[in-house]
Amino acid sequence: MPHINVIGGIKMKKRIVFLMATIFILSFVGACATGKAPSTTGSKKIFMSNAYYTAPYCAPLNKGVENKAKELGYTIQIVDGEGNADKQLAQFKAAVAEGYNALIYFPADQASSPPVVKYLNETGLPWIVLNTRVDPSIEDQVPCTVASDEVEIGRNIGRLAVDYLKDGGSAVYIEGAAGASYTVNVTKGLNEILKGSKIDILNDHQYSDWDPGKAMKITEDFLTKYGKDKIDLVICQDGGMFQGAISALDAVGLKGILKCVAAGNDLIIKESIIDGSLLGTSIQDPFIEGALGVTSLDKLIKGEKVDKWAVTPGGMCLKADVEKHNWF
Amino acid sequence: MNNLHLIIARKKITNTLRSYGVLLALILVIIVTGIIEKNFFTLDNFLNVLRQNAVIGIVACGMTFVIISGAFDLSVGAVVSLSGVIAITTINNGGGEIMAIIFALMVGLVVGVTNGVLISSINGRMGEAFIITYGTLTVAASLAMYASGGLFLAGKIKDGFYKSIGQGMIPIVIFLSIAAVMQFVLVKTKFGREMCFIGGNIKAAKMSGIRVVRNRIMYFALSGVLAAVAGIVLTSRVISSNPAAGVGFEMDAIAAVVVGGTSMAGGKGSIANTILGTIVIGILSNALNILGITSYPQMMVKGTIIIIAVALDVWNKRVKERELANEKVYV
Amino acid sequence: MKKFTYNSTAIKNFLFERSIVIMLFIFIIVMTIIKPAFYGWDNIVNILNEMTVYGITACAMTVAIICGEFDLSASSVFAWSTVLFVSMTNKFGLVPAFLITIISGAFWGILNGWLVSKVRMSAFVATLGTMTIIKGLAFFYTDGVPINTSNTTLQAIGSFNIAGISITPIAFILVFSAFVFVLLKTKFGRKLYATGGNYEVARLAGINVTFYKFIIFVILGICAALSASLFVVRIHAGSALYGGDLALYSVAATVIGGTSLSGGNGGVTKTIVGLLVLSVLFNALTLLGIQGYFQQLIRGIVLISVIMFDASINRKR
Repeated sequence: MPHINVIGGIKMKKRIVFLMATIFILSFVGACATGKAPSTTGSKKIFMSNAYYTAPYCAPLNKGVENKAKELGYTIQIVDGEGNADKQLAQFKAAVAEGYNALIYFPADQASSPPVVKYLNETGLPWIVLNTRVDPSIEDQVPCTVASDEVEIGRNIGRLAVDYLKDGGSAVYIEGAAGASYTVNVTKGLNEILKGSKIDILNDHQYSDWDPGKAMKITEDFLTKYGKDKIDLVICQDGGMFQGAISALDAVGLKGILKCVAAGNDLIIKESIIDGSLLGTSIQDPFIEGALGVTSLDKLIKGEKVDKWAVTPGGMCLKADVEKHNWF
Repeated sequence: MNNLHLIIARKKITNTLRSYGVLLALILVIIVTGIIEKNFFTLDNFLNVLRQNAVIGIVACGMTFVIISGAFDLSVGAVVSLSGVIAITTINNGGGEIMAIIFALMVGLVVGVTNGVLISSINGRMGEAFIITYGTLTVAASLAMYASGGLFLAGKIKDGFYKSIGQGMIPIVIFLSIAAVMQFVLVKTKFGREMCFIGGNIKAAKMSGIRVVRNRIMYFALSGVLAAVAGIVLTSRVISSNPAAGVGFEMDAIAAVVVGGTSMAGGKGSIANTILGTIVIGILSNALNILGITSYPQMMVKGTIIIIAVALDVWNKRVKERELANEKVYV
Repeated sequence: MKKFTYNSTAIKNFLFERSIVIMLFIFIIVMTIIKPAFYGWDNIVNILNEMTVYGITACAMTVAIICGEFDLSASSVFAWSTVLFVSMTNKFGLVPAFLITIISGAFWGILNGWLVSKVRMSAFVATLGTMTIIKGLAFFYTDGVPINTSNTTLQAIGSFNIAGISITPIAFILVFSAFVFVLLKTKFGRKLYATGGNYEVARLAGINVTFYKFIIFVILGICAALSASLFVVRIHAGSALYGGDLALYSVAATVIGGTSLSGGNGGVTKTIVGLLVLSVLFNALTLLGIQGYFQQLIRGIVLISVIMFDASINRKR
């Protein structure tokens, strides 16, 4: 193997690095010059950034979006925004570069939505907000918001509770995640209805972070702290929490004896309404919400008029109404 | 000689605080909380705490071995989720409870062996273990999402064998028996001694003929299988699976191990310590819950406890080392 | 002057040491062929703008890793800083808010540094504890609700850009250059490497190792606060939930770039490569239309593959 000893050998190594760097940069610049890719013609493409892709509620939601989009003849891509508005902004910019025609924005939270809303309006493309409403200060800049009336959900839960404890009583209340708009709004609605009643919520805020395991722990600790016979009702904000609560009650033999109220369309809720351990629920069907989102977007694409706020159908569901709804 | 008495007394107090600080703090917390809330100081409640923390405790036992061997395993949380999803899916599709358990354990085994093979094939230490188990975490978490469709799966579990795993004393019995067996293995068997050796000085261990690669794979495999056991217990307790059930478990498990007194540097440790750590953290959470302190101040308290407990432990070890060194001088 | 033998083994070694860069290079070329949009100026700018927010903390994390430690609390310091910056801006205005945020970042760094260097706790445990405390504090302060600000100066800074490049890459380049200079050209840098390489030897050689183990955390705290400020400049909002993946991202970028976690080698220039790998990958997955759960799966597999490939080549690590 011939080897060449180069005097001042460092120079040689540096030259190679310099050469590689130059090639890299030149090709970089050259390729940039080709600019944006032409948008693909053919079927229209919808892009959705879902900030909470992995949440259980969003699995049927995404399905609803996908099915409706395909039904109407669109290609659809949904990505995970990972709760970060900065990421979602970058995702939308990438989507626009990629030639998508319409956008769906599922915000991470209200506070961080203004920059995204501003950008989406700048693109000139049709777009909607799905499930979580944006900051009130810019809400009028959104072409269409498709979301549930979360305060009404809270009111429905309250109505169920008041209906059961007509003469008042003590209840414990498990919430979702502190600061989440759903949690805050449902609590608001619940408190509205409970204010006039004689029902007393024993605990301060207890957050389960939507986790059945945590909700189970919270329920067990409630039973310890207040005593099993001192609690008349368990109030939950969604199906996951209810799953945890009912498991805790089951473990001490109180299932069906200590009643609960909840919200949502989970299968466990359906089963529990049927077997009586759950008094009722407030409907929030993510599948329908997703489909409604796409139909509203479709109207926007076609230039038709849409309401500023398309409300996801809600309402109370008791034992008699169980078969009318979808459960997941 | 009043001054001297004072000095000796103060030294004695400091000594006791240092050596048993965590335990003393725990006892203090228990007493104070018991006074404020009578219901806290009941057998029912203590059993509750043990039961609630059995899941994390089982994971922490597996983590202890990995930490003693000089690495750590970030993927355990995802294994808890994934094994739970697989178990419930099997049951719901009529596969039977025994098959569900077998599949779940297999999941833990596969992930654990994968971790072990990947890490030991590149002679990985802490850094490589960090990234690789983070990678397997991501893969397992996404599989759990995929297998469950992102949903909670309510388990079609009637009263029976599977359901009983999570009820009553069983989770506690499972946790403590696993811990007892592991402590025995650690202290009394060659396997355990080799683990400490590998954690202490991996190069020396290799040179002394220990089959390091095979052993390391076993530590990760064990961690994975135990995480799967924890996943089974959890799904039995909550009668459902949750694709995100184990999020954050790896940090909780590591916290339990270090609060108990095992050092992150590896080379030595004890499962008994881990049980202690799990119980300390568990009782603390429970006390704060019962006192009505909400989740977020609780986090601040938990973090402070972790730091104080470990700080005390480190200080204790340093003083002991110094004492030993001093003794040597005079002997 | 080292003698450089120009033969195939030398070239092989040279290329292997830079295997990550080569992989990145190849990946970019493949992506450009598949998706021309990937190489558009808009997309490049997009990647740069987003990557550099976390990038500053990643560089600081590299410094800590070179010295043999790492910091899990960076995520919580980030979250806390976004909250503090927004609320202080609303109360006192932009400049005081910025100063307060940086100082609070330094404060957390001092706490971490003290725990690791004086109390001699393992960095993992100390920062695990502080991470929990700071996260709890951020939640407590805001009651969990994200907050925002409509400060016009902030919005103006956020919209400022040169040909699409916002203020974040510019800030990043400044910080990055400072790091490169200090690490490579000053005694401080050399002593840092020494401390990370072999603590005992460095101590015996008279280096104030306690100081170095302390200062790296202060640097990290300040940089996390800086990253948070840049984030707020772009998004005008703060929440206890933001930045959750920052610590892991920074460590991953450092390790992928080629700095060893055992300390004593590597550098921030290598970390840029790691940052690029992560950002380019994430961007590519979106452009390629990869759906939800699979993105996570692929990211995990790629992460493992990159480390395995690099480690197997550079076996001496």
